[in-house]
Amino acid sequence: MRFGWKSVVLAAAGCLAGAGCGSKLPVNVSPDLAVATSLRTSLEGAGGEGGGEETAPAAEAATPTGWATLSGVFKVAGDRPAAAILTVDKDQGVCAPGGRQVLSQEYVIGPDGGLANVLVFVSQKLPDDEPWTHPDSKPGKADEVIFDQKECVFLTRLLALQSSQPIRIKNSDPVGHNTSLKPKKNPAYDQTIPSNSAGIYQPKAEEDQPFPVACAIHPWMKAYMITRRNSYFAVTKADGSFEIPNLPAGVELEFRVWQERTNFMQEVTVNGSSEKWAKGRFKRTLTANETMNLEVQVPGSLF
Amino acid sequence: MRTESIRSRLSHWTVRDAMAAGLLLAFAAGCGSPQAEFRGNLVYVKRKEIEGQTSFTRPQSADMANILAAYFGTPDDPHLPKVPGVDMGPLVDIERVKMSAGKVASDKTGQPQGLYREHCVHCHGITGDGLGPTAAFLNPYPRDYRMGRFKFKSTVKGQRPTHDDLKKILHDGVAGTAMPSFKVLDQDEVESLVHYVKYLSLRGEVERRLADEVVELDEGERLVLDASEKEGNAEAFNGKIARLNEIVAEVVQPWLEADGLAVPIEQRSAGWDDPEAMAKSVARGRELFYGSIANCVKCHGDSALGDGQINDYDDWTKELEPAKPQALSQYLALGALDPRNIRPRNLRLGIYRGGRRPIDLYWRIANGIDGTPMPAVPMKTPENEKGLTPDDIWSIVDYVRSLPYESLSKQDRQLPQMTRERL
Amino acid sequence: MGRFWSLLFLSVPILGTLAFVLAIAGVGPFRDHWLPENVNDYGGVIDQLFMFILYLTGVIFIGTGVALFWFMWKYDAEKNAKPAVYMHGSHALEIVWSVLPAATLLFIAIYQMNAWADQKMRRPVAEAGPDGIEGTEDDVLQAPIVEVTGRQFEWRIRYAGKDNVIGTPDDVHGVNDLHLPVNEDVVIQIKSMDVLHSFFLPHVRVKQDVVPGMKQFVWFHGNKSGIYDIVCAELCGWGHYKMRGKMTLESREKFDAWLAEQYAEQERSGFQPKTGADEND
Repeated sequence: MRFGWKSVVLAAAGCLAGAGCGSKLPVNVSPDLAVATSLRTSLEGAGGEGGGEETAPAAEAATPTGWATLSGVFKVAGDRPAAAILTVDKDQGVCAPGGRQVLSQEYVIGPDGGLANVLVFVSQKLPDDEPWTHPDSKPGKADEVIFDQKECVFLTRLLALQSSQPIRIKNSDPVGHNTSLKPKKNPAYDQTIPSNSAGIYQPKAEEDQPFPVACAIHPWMKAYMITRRNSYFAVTKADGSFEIPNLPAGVELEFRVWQERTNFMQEVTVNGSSEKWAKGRFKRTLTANETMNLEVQVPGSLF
Repeated sequence: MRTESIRSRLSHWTVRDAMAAGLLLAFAAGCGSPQAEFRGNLVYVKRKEIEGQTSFTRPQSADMANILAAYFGTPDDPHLPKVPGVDMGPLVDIERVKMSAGKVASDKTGQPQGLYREHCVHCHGITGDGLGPTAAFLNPYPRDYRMGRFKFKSTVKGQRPTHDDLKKILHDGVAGTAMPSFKVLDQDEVESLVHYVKYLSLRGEVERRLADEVVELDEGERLVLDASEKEGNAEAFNGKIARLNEIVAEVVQPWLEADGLAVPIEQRSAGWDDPEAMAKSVARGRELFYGSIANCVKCHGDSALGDGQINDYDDWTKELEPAKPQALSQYLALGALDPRNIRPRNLRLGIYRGGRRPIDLYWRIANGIDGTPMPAVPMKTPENEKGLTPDDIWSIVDYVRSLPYESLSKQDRQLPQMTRERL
Repeated sequence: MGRFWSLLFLSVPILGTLAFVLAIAGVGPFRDHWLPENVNDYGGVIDQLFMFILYLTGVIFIGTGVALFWFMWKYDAEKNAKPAVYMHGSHALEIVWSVLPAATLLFIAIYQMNAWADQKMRRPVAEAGPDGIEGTEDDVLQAPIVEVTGRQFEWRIRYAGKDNVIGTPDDVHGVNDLHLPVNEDVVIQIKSMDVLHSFFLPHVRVKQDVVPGMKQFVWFHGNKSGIYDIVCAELCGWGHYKMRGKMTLESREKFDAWLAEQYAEQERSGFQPKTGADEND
């Protein structure tokens, strides 16, 4: 009998050992193998046919009726936060001449609240030709875009261009830089750019969102780039204004709005009424020859 | 009466019984051996959630796990995606993957099984996330394969490694890290492990792309439709399936191309190994090292001790946004390891992680090192007069290779010898 | 129970003898169980010492087992009515069982001195010193041909190269794959990069702990070409089990050719990708 007593306790401890391993890691979502198996059949079987239609821009029911312009201005409402001061711990003579403070350009807000470097672009895929795409905005532009750096600052904080355009990455500083691009769909690029010289980068594909540009030698340097197929994009100027001309009118267009700090902007006030832009998306239908003006108020709490 | 009997029973517990019970209890409290399972990339999902100011719903996360299981199977039963228009053949072989998958065992012919779990898993983890049980104790941390990026390879920064690049790492190990050499393993076993690493990389990359995709979904939308919703909805159903296959194709494509992208290096002309030519080349290399074109000195430091730039991070760590303590603490809670700065290599140690052959160093300099701040040097082209020529790179290689033998101070370090050895 | 216990104790010397005989004969479950083949000219003495101590302890072990059995059998309480006798001890017996082991131990100590010195102290001499007599203080000791550095969890290897000096640019580096010439004295310099390891070459009877911060030498004279094991014989961490290497003993010409080939690969200064239709592996 006394063996029984002991073995019960030992068995209980054994069960605990087998079953109870209180994992400290967060819960994992395990696949449901039955679902996965049926999914596998779908993925390996039906994938072929559906493919074609998805990638080609959907021919929509409506056809554009002419050309229109979207313009506007982004302003920060309420408290305007001050820009952060960057730590310049290298090449101070060049990067912070006279020991001046170098401010972060993560957000640049003008005296009247204008928010610079906001990206607005048409996010849906449009056919490349008329009446969808204006000849002036057509893909295939090939003129070189200059991306310069001086006093350890990328002179263009947010560079938007067509994916066919080569970028001349210049260094106008007396010190060497290295410029590294970390795109999602384009080839990566990371090269030392000696002082007063340049490198050429040829993008290949369209990106869905801006990708970061950095310099490993001067880690405080930062910028973003985005490559788009056509020219339906704009970056706000120092006063927060932007303009995208030659948009197809009479059809619903989907735009996306991005800013470095806020990412895709979600909650804003447009022309006085508040709007929720899910994942930074908003839709507008313009009429021919119209210039639609958007007065966008961005809450200061986002910064 | 009752107390007495219990006491008498307890008195029969011997020391050995108590030890056995104690061990079992300790085991229960500590660790058992749960079923091997791929873990979701929770850190990346969290990052996407923060960036997109959203949060993944349970069905969305379940979809990700199910899609991955559909494409890649489970650790015990791996599978390779069969995507229309993509031939995985030249890249990964399922039979070789299977040899490394599953539990450690051997079949009737003595063919080993479960090689990954035998040799790799304790550092690199079941999922290839570099989060095995020993990972936290290592410096540098083991590689997380899920970005599909590897540091020491013959292709240009940003491209995938070739098959031979991965194999070399298994063969020679990574000197100066905890990655040992697996040279004494059978060639077949090494080959199988290379395939398994690629398999885990592809899986990890697809997982990340799925997370990217989920962020873009509308509220309540999912990556796939349930089979029950297919009826009358075939176009939407197939559209989603096609999109997933497109993602896999996009992930596989650069891997397929990589084998042809190894950067060729023109055989160095003869005569450079004569001491005089070498001394000249080393001097030229030194000049370039400190010059503003190659700019090595900026990071590797004035004495090449790797102390020029010590507060940067590698790309795997940058994912944890170490500059944002609030985000970082969330990632750490999900199991990420404490971020550490990446140190430029101390070139005086004579330890070369990616290999010591001149061509290895040439690739590092000409291609840059993926996942790290090390850039490629600019090459001389018609547009870029200031760039370097291959001979310039060879000179930097020569200089770097001479550094361990150039004494910084004049003292020779003397190791204590066994004194009686001369008896 | 009766004499059950004494019989149980009898099984100890019986099984012990069986294991001993089977192992020496190399049959049954004890095949290849004993020491691996010795391929070191200097290793024989180690084996002799080992076998001597084994026989000695084996005889004592079996004798003790038999004596235990015999006493238990003979003086089993159920069969013996005679009461136990107490005595004050025997000087003669005590002297016998003190002096015998002492003499044995002393014998082993003296017997092994030379073996120890040969293995650990008398490094092969390259040439006699200025006095022209080998075996004196000023002898020039043979330089190590290779340095093996233990590190968690592999053996890093560094050949002295053409100039025969370790630590110069012409060194040949490797890992886990040690090649050495056969039929000549070989000196290996051993070090550790991190923790205590033990450099163990079972086939040449070389086993030496490597201590971080300390440089030591081991040597042997291989006499049979082949591929042998390198293992770590000191628990050095969780990956101790995988700290395996292989040692290839080969003729001097083959060794020199191999080393030259390794050096050429190490100095490789050109790369052309494989072209065309070559297979994946």
